[in-house]
Amino acid sequence: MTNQDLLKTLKKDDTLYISLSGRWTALSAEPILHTLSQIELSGVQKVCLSLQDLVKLDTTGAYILSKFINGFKEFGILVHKQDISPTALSLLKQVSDFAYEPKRDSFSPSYRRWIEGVGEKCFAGYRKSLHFIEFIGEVCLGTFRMIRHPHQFRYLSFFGFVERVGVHALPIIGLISFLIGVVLAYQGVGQLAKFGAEIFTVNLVGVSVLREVGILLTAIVVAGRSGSAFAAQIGSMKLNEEVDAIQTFGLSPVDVLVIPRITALLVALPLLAVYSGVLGILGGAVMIMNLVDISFQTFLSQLKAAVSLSTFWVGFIKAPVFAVIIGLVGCFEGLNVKGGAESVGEKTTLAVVESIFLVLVLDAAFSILFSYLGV
Amino acid sequence: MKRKAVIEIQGLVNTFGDQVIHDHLNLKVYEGEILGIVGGSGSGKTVLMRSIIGLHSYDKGEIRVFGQKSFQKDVKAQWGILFQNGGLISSLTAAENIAIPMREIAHIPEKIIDELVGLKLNRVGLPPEAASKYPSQLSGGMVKRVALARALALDADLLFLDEPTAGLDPIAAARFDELILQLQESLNLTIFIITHDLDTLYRTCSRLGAIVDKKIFTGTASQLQRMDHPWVQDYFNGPRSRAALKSKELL
Repeated sequence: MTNQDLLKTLKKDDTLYISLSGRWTALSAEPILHTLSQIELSGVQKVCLSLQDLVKLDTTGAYILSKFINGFKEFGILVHKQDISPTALSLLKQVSDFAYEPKRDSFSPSYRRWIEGVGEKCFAGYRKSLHFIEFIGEVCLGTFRMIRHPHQFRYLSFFGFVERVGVHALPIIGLISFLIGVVLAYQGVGQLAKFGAEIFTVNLVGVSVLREVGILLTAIVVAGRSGSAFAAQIGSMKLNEEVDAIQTFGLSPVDVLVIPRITALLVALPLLAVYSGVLGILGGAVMIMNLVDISFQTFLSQLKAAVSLSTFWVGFIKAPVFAVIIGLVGCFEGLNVKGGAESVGEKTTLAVVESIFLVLVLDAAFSILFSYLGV
Repeated sequence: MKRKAVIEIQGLVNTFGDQVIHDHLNLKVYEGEILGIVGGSGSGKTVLMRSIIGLHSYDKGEIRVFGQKSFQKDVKAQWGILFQNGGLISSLTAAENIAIPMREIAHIPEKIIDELVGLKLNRVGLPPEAASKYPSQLSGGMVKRVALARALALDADLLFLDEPTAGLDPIAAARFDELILQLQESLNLTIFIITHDLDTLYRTCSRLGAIVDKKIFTGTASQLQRMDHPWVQDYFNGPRSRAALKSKELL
């Protein structure tokens, strides 16, 4: 679009005649501004504006025009408007009636904001910890209520969650555990062969999978799959005022939403951990039998010598603890959702990050505990 | 006078599974008119709007907007849409939401976007403080108004409003009606309103369309009042409708 399409100027003595034409709309805002900035105003005392040839004027165009006219007035230039259609006139009036300077937020200096930010984060963390403790208390009370009145337990949703959390996770956990077994065996054989001790790869795979890897892997996958799902489900229910509705029926959201989820995890996660251990060892067996020339029989007898029932229990005992942590964090973050859809995403991410973090911290704590106990 | 049709719908068929929503529906929306769409819950008002703006792929029929069948960016610059629940982007502030069409479609220079946003906010009756708030911090009525300001951002020739006054208090709703009329007058807009608000219907709409029996019947309020159909009779001759009509006559 050339400047000629938007306006024509003609200078006579100290009067500037401006004739607008074309479409003065939002879509041509840029050329309009450009054209206006190029108008020569030196020695001009009076401006005559003609809107006769204007094809279309919208709010954006009218706003730019009225700003331009006000600019003349500031310079002490007289403005005379002519051939203005009633609609254009009403638009010009509207934009000047409704114009206002948007307020800018006042900014404090950056170091101050930084210190404020640190303080805010600390207090937020403190408040959140208190809330979490409160939430744990509520869940405990709810659990006691369920034990005293078992008929209040939501069996239907419990079984639904066991299926979703447990059964549906079987393929992914199975595959990952099998592959981790394969990887461990491959690395183990590679290193132990230097001592001619390849057969001890069975011990390596057996102990590490049963004590640590199987359960940790399961907990992390479940945190990613189910912890996030809990947070997202409860979060959207919160936004949809479903949680509020549940409360007004005289029901506790903890009883209805949280306890079935946590108990489902409590059942499913240990079972998944056992399954993961079995498949991890199976993966290790396949790899070892391929790399070192031993039979499945030999593998099993070596495994039997390497691991005892206590090895299994030391790993397995952690599963319910992880289950409770993942369930608590997922539900807690879900109930924390407020505001809009963005909050659901934010809390879901938080749920996963926090539960994986807590699982790893607790795993380390268990290791320290077991080292004291000497198991 | 032969008027130009902005929207032309012919033989529109929409089904969800076995359920037929629209059965060979025909409709023309003419330039410069305010068409109010009414219909019972689930009669397919919103589906009709979504079919027109290309968000719902219909089963059969033909829809032309500005004479075009598929919508390029130039058509999208010519319409503004107010969604039922606002449809504001939750990660952007009210001001940034209004600025989206200005930035993305019209490429208006940054230096005047702020001022134009202020103008639009003021136009729909929002205080300047609302500009920097996020949708989650706004009340329902304010969300509606921000959404309207966004729909009006480019002074689109064609405006779709889905339940614009639902959830507004009567004062805000009345002001909204005035705003619509004023805009229509000064910009010669074509407006497609879905509403249950009988005051809005009688005050602002030049023509009404009632979706009944999977088809649409159009006409002025008095024409529809005389139509021999039980739902239409109930709707237009019910106590609330009569009250709204009476209050309009008093104006």
